Amino acid sequence: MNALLSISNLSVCYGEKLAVDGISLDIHAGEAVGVIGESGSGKSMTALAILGLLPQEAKMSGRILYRGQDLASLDENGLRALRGRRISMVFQDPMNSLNPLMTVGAQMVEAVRAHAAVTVPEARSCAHELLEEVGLPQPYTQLDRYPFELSGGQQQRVMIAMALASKPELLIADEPTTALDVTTQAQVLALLRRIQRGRGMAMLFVSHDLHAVNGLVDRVAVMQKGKVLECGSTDQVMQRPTHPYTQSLVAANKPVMAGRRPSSRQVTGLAIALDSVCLEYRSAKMGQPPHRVVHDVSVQLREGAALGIVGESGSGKSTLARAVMGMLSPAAGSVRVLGMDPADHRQRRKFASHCQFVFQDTTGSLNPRRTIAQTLAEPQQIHAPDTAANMARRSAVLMEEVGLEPALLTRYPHQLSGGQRQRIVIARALATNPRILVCDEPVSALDATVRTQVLALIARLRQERNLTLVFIGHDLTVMESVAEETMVLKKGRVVEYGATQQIFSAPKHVYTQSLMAFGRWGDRDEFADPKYGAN
Amino acid sequence: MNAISMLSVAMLRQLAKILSIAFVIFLLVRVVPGDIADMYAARGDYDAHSVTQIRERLGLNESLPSQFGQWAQHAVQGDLGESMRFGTPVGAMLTGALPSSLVLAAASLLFGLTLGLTLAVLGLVYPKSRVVSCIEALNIWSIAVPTFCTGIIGILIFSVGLKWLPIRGQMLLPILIVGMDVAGQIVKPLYIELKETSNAAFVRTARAKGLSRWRIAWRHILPNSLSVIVALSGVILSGLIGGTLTVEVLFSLPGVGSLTLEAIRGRDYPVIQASVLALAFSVVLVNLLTVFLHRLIDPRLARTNGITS
Repeated sequence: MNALLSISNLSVCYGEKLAVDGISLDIHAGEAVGVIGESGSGKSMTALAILGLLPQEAKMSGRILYRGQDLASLDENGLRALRGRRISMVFQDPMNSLNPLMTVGAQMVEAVRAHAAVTVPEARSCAHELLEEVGLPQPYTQLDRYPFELSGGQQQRVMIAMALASKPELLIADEPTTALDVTTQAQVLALLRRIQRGRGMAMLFVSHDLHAVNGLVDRVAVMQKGKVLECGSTDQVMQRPTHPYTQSLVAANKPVMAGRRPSSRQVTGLAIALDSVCLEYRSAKMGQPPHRVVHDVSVQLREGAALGIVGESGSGKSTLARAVMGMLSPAAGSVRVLGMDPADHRQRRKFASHCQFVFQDTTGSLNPRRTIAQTLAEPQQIHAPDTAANMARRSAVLMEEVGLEPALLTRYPHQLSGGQRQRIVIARALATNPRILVCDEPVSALDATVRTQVLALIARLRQERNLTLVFIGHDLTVMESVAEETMVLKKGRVVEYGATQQIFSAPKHVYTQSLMAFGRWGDRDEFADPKYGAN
Repeated sequence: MNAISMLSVAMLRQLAKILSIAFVIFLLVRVVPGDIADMYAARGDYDAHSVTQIRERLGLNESLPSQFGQWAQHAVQGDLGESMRFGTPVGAMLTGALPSSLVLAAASLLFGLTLGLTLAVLGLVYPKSRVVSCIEALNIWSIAVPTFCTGIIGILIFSVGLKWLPIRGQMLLPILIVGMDVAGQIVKPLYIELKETSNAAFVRTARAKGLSRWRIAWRHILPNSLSVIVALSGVILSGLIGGTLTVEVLFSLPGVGSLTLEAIRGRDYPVIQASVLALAFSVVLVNLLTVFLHRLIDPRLARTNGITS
């Protein structure tokens, strides 16, 4: 049988790096193929190369045959005729992938009219049908909205609808769910599966998460460092991975070290005490009542213990962390951290040396114009000024403590990988010798393998330094390995709070149960469940 | 209801800005040694007694606060006083000078914007063409060649040599010359911004949709880069209204720039105050306009008031 798309010996050079190293891959009509690999494995480059959307600095060689036509040798105009018409693409970050200044309708109409000679009203009704197909509620009102007025899941649905505009034969999805919540992820994956089967369209699904594609694709290709390590049917790869790397990927989703006992810890005073805390944000509009984000949360955390806070985005978990850090004063109730009021500005410096924050967005929280050495020296200068040589020595020790080469101190943030940057952010937080570490989704943006490593690092540091940990995440499974106590938040209210093991063995609340189901779905049957299909 | 109260607060704030500018300028012109009476005295036409008489007649011997009080009281009622030198009402002098300044500023901004925008977009769509070097050249031109130089060369070529245009009183040449200058200031930042925006993820989406390069440039990249033009144009326009002095002098255009310069030379306090006030007013107006335009371009800004986080 002739393949619909046949990639042979494709190489992509990006700068001096060989991002894709002579890979070959066939996709047949109506077939769904998954490409799995961590960031930097060349999987996205492969996807972009098909439609000639590589960045300008990238050079490619090899052949990409689509129905016998070599896409690699086509010029811009030739490619344009195929883009969006025969082969469509859905991208990773729907928020940034939609034009922020154009309404959803205008962008969809544009996609429809790019390849069909229809009037604007005709294109609009076509856009309406497409939005209905992807399960967006009230398609007509959505057409006049701007992307920023939609949720992440809705944005990705719009992207998918747009990609379907002219009935493509092949849909390339480049990590379409990475930027989304766990629950939304499941819905979008179910949607893609339904549409792909329903339309009999071929699909190339690029992801870093082997388990995410499990129920979605027929065949899987595992990539590392620009090469395809293993390619076969999904069942075969999941059940009997042959390459060691694939085996580690299959294992990566399993808990790191289950069953951590809290009893090993010395019982001392309270580290964090929240007493029926309510938090609110002031409205931008004058005269409007403030917007309450967190209702009546009480926490008592002993020193050396770890608390996991779980919830979807918008559940108020980050806001709670801000209150613990003193960045937000409670509207009601009291916050005490190590006996201090975090919002008290007179004790700011003392408080900061005891309580530090690890951010989620490592690119945004490291100053791009400062070397790692400068970044690590700054907190030392503030809290424990010393000679430059001594501070440099301490920075090197910190680097080793978080498992990085001290040689990296001279680098700038952009020269490091995401995992390395997260380690730097942790090292910076440790520079003041804090007793409490508040981590706001420290691993959400990381690949599965790197995530495991960073979690192990946090667990080790906690042990060594006897840190009190507040760990925020949307992934319940992560909590199992990190925290002894877990709090589940929904819409600013505590749904469940107690020992992690208890919550895991017997979740009481329906919401917790559903969170656990989404976090652990390895079974493909879960996809078929119709309740995840609709919004 | 809310919108009106917010608007009135904003207006009051702008009014306060204008008033404080007026006060500072009132003080500054009097800090400069020598008033109009000294000027007359220096020319030798008056003796000490008549100089004092002039001061008394013009109210210059009174204390600064009371002078300011009187002036402000009249100014608020729309009476900007009389010129100390000519005795003509300052308001009339201003309304005589403003139109030509405004026309020159607006027309050259329009011409400059059109030229700069077209070149920058052309450079984006055809990155390997000669347009890019044109952009560089125009930018360096606007930095290195002052407008009075091009003005003189323009007069020599078109008025003296070819005799196509009169030297005095025509607007075409000044608009072209100032417009070129504006284009040069705008084109480079805009081009860089456009190139930056073209790396955005939504541009990749637009390409993946199979849109043409022109459509991507005009519909997707340019609107997302417009805030740079709006910000730059605001600054440039505020500068142009009073800052086209050399061109006004060169082409004998009766603008606000030359009016102010003459008034400063002659220590004609009411005229200085009035024209600076007019300039301050236009700067404030232009700023408001820029804010409004920013909101018009970006729906996210316009709706932040209605949506709580």
